[in-house]
Amino acid sequence: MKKLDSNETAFSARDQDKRLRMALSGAKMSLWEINLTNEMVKWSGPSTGHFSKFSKSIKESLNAYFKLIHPSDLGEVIRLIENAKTDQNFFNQHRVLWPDNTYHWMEGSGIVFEENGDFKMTGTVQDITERKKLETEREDWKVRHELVARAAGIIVYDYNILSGDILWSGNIQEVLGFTSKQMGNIDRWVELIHPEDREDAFEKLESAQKNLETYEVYYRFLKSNSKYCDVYDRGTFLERDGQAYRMLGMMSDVTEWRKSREALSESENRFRSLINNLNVGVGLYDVSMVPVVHNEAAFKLLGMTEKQFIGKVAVDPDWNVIDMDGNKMLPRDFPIPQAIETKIPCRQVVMGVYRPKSKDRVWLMVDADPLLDENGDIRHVICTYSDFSARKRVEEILAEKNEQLVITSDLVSRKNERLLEFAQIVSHNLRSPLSNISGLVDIYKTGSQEEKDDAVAYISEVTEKALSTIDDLNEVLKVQQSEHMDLQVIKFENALEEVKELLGSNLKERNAVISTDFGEADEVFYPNIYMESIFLNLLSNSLKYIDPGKAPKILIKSKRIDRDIHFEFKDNGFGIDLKKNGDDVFKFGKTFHSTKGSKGLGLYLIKNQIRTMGDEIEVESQPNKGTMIRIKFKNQDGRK
Amino acid sequence: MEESRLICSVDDEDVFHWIVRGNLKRVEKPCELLSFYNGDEILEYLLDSSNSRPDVLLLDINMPVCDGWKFLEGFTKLNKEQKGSIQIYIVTSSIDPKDQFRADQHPDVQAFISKPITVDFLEGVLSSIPV
Repeated sequence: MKKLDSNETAFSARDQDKRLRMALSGAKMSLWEINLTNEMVKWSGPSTGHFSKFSKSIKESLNAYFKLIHPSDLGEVIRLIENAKTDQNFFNQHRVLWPDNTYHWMEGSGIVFEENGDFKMTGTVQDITERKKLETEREDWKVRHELVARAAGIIVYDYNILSGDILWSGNIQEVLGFTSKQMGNIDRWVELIHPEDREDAFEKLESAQKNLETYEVYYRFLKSNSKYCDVYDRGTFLERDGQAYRMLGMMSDVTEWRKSREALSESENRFRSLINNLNVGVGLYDVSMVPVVHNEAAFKLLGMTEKQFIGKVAVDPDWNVIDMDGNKMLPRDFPIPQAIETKIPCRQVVMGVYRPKSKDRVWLMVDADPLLDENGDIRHVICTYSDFSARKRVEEILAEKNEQLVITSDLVSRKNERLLEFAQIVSHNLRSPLSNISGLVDIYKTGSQEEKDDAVAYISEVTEKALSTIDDLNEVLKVQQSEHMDLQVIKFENALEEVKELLGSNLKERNAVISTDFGEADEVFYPNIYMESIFLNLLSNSLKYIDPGKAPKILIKSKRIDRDIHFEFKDNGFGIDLKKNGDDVFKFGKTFHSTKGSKGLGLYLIKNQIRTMGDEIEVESQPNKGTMIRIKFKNQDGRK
Repeated sequence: MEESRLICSVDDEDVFHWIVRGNLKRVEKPCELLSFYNGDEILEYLLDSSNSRPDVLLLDINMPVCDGWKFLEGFTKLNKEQKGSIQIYIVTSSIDPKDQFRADQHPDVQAFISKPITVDFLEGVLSSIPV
């Protein structure tokens, strides 16, 4: 083991020189000396190290060095040298042109001294280019951040969690009106938050700090003008060993933004509540007929849920749409496709839409207006639906009433016709006996006793006849007044039996033979008294208008033809010469035979009754070949 | 001596004929009355050329078997000799303007008279017959 000499704790002079050179080179440093008297420069270790090439290029002349200094820095360097005083330290940073034609930052420091009558400066120079670069960059970023923050109205802060101090960016006064000093530390920050928001903001801060999460919060913050502004605050934490020690973040005044957002949302709410409270369905559709915006009434009127409505093409095959007249409407004729195809509004289309959900039909009045872009292409179609059902119902009621009115007016006009006819009958048939009486009275006034007696006899006869005529007319009136007779199912057989009982003795005396065939249709839906009247009048005619020596033979048949029942009544009596009397067969007071007791009432009555029921009667006859009466009881099914 | 006139009345009611007869008694002109009860009866009479031609015919409209209008249809078809110089008056209780119009249009009808028939009317009718 070598024993250490106490001298060995220090470098030898040679070692020291060597070590110094190595250290200088590692630190990109060099020693130098300027002789201010002869302006010569000396460099340490010119052959090696960072400065070797550079020091060689300056040829040991101060002037040569000056030429390499950046023009902006040269003045400072010259002034420093000129003002140099003995035993004074100096310090300077300047740029010099490096052999690779880039400027390097030099940091020089040293001292001025006098030696052998010469003024000299000596010291170190260090290439600090890299440090300077970082510094410049940092400075640049600082400036940029400040600029951005200032432009955006954003306050940037740096919160030292351990001390509670906060560094505020320079624009704090512009934004909040406080200086950095007035803003102060974390306690002051909490104090300036609106009391109602304070707890929340602080709790969130503690939680974010604890969990090292991004802090993000809105709160109201007091400005120097004593008014609160809305602040958005967002910050992140720097941590060491899981402990946050610093927080960097920004605060921005979002009052205007919040106000405009509120205004926007309020106006949107107003718009929404406006269209939602409309009775009218409103929908905005895109070119593929999918609803973009709509109100509640739109899908409700169409019988859909909102879920069914959204995102679907606005045509549902289940709608089974019909138009005003009840004809099926094809989907391509709907207003929206029409508006898209023609690019012109399609208005006031009435659609009867079947709603699958409620299983009913709603009547909609639909308007579709195309919205075109600047190129004239369809952008949207706006469509409104209004419930037309009420109006449609009113229209239907109106149409129904109108129909009733037509029927009533028909009825009234028919009644009027009959009334007029009746008035004529009354006038004619009562005028006849009265005119006779008048003629008789004339003769009575001036007549002989014999004439007087005859006249009185005639007057009594004519009066009798007039009274009988009045009774007949009364019968006719009864028929005309009984328009709303109760209909009932009447068996032909039963009705005939009742009439046969009424005419009983007469039928027997005349040996009348009545055959029937009601096999095909044995009943009719008819007023009972009308049916009896038909049988009574036809039968009594058959007994009246026949050769007294001849036995009446009557054949009654009925058959069904479609919805009608055809009834035939045939006798073997005188018959009627239809060539002569065809027009008059069913007229009141028209008689065709000189038989006593003919009044021309029976067929007139029947015709009236049958006409009242909307049925038909016709006659077929030849003199001496009997009479056939045909009655068509129409639309029997419809009566029930 | 004035020539007697032949008057035919056609009506289904006895009372009419009786009234005509009563009135004719009060007319100061000699005349004879024949009664018929429907259109067929008088047509039959006229068709028989051996019957004397009436000067005046009082015709009712509303009659059974053959009414006044039907008679007129048949009458139109008669030849000149059968028709003679007969004056036809429609005498009816009808005041229906349609009947009045129809009578006015008919070439063989002299006039449309509403019942009752009067002495004055018959006087006038008989006076108008040329001698």
